[in-house]
Amino acid sequence: MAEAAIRIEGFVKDYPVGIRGKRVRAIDGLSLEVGANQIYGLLGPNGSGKSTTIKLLLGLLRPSSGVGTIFGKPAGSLAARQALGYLPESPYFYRYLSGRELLRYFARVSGVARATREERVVAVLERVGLSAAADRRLSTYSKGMLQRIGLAQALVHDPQILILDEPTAGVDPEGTAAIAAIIRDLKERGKTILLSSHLLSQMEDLCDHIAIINRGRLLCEGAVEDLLQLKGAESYLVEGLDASGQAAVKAGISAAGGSLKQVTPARRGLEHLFSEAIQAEEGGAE
Amino acid sequence: MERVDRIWAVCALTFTEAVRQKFFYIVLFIGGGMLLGSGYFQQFDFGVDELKFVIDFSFGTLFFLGTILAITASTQLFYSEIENRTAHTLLAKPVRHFEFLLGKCLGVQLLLLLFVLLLCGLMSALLYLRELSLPVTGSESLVRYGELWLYGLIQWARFGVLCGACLLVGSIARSYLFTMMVSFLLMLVGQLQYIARESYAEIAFLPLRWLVQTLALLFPNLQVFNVGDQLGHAAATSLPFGVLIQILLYAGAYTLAYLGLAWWNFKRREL
Amino acid sequence: MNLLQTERPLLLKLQAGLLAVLVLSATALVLKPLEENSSRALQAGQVELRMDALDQSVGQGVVLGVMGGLRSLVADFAWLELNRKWEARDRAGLGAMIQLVTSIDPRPEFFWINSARMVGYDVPHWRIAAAGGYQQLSTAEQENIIAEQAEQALVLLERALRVHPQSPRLKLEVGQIYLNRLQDFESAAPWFLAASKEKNAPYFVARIYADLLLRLNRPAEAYAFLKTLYLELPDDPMAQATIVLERIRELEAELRIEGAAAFSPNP
Repeated sequence: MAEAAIRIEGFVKDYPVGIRGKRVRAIDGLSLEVGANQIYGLLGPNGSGKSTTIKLLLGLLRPSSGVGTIFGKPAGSLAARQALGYLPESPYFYRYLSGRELLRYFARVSGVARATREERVVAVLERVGLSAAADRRLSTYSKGMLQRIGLAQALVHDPQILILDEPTAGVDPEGTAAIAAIIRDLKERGKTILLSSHLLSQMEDLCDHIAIINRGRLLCEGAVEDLLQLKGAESYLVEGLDASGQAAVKAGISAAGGSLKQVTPARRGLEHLFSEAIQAEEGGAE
Repeated sequence: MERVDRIWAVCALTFTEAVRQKFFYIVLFIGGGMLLGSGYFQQFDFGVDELKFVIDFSFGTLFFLGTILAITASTQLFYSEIENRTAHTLLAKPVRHFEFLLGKCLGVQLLLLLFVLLLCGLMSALLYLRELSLPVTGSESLVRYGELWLYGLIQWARFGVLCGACLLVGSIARSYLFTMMVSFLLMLVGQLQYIARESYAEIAFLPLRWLVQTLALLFPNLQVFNVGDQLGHAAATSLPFGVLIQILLYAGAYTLAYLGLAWWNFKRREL
Repeated sequence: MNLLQTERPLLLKLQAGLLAVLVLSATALVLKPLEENSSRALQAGQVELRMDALDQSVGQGVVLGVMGGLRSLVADFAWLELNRKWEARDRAGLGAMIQLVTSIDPRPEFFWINSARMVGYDVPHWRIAAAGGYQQLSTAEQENIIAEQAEQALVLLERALRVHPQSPRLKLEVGQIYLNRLQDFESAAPWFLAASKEKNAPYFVARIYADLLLRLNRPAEAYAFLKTLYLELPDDPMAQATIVLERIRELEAELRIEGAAAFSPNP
């Protein structure tokens, strides 16, 4: 069995409230596995624990219990971080640096060899489409450009895994499409991508696998195709019906004079699945 | 080697950030202006004693503005990384917490070194020009120019202690303002606590004496850096070289102690 | 360990606090010899600060500045303020500022000497002018005022000499006041002699001492002093050895010392 790129086993994260040790549970026994070369979407409403899970994987937070590994190495360890590229939510970078300087800095701290550093910086700038703006200060960048330079810094040391926290939040449709294209391209290059987002239509098109979490608990998880398929239902693609014929569809397609072209399994949207899962969880919790 | 490169990268970035901000230039401009303003003493016709006034004033400027710059820059350059969450991005890379802290500290120290060198250079030039225009008797200079730089070195070491203290406070603080205020308070206590040390022997109530003694141990005695009276002016009693080395060692040890504690707290801090 | 850290915040804070206390105390104890050595060396070059002089008349900013390590600078600014009082001929203000400046920083001789000159030379003019001017006051009254102020200047210099017991400039200043303000040659002479014996004393001080001996009708003593002085003078044009030799020759003429008994500059 191939080693999982990311494995989380029973993550629990409690935050103390006040000095007497009262706790608020942010992550409640979360377990999941991200296979190599997957685009894995972590979905959940605001405050569901997506960013906390990511921070636990990066070692920025310590789990109250549970274990996380990155290619078998403990989450947060130097070796694990070496294999990761991370784009934080609403990234804020040093405004006085140019895009090129920022990438040089992150390449250097990530251990990219001096001999290849410049080449690497140029390549990544090219990939995120910021070559023309590379020497402008970040303070002049738009939100979309900041998101792309954030993606570039995550990529600069060519990590095997990318963790992207809301990579398209606040970005216009054109920018979103560009980021989605970069992510697909990364998958083609063999990278594993874990991303969190609340933009469900984008995730539906982009991800192979998803997990929906709420209140720190995993609600459902699996391949997008499996999760979105409605069991025991079919959809029909009908051609040539007039207005009156439509009313008779239920009585029989053949009798109405139409010709049956295709029968495919019916599919619901990811948005629908998400709402249903959250509602079920919240109904159950009440 | 990679570790050194990472520390140096953080240091260089910190320095770049500092020198691209207006605050550094404002402090530098005020410092330069104050030194140039020491020409005001000419009005009083002090004769050769004017040089003592210029030296005192220059040392005071370096001490005062350097202290403000050390605390403000250390707090701003370190705590803003936590507040703006740029530290998240950096610490998600293969960078250790102590590398980040040490890089920050070195970056601030590099900035302060530049500040000290510029001010010492300017004060030396001004004193030299003034001395040339004064009716000096005897062949010996009234200013020991080398000691002006030595004063700068000792103050730079003191700024290192302040930087370490700021990083320690910042490593546990939850706000920028808190870090700044507590750091200034620490500086003030360090500057004045020698008075407490001198007077605790007179406290008759033993538990109170012990408490004061223990508290006194928690703060460095920043008075040991007040060497200005013994440097620079030819009439001043020179400070032995060995003492200067001891003062530098004292500063180095406190800076390391503060950095060590800051690292311990910062490593455990959840971002 | 993780549980301890994340679920017991009070314990974590205590742990951090205790570690800080331990590390800082250990640092302070280890560095104690260094600190004491440095403090001793610094204090050796400094005069003890008289806090009682600061308590009342000055603001907290001055006290803080002085205690915080800006002693010289605060004294310098107090000196500028003293000059303002002097310009305004504010006698009471001048006295208070002299007290303050010399208490904050008694190290610069400059403060003492110039204060003594203000008290001894300038204030008598102010007092005489305030009392109606030189035309109105009798000579005796004027001399009385001058003597009173000279006395105050001498008291100030006496305090200064406790701080700088080997200062030729201060001793010379005492001599000058006896000489110029009180015309008391007898009292002035020993101070000029004492000043001339100190290291870095100006060469002219010894010559003035010899002059004073002459004014006191002690030419033989002056002659003996100048002979010794001449032999001890360094090879420095500023020492004006030829003037000293001329004076010796003049005294030889006056005392009728001739031939082999006369002074030989190259023994």
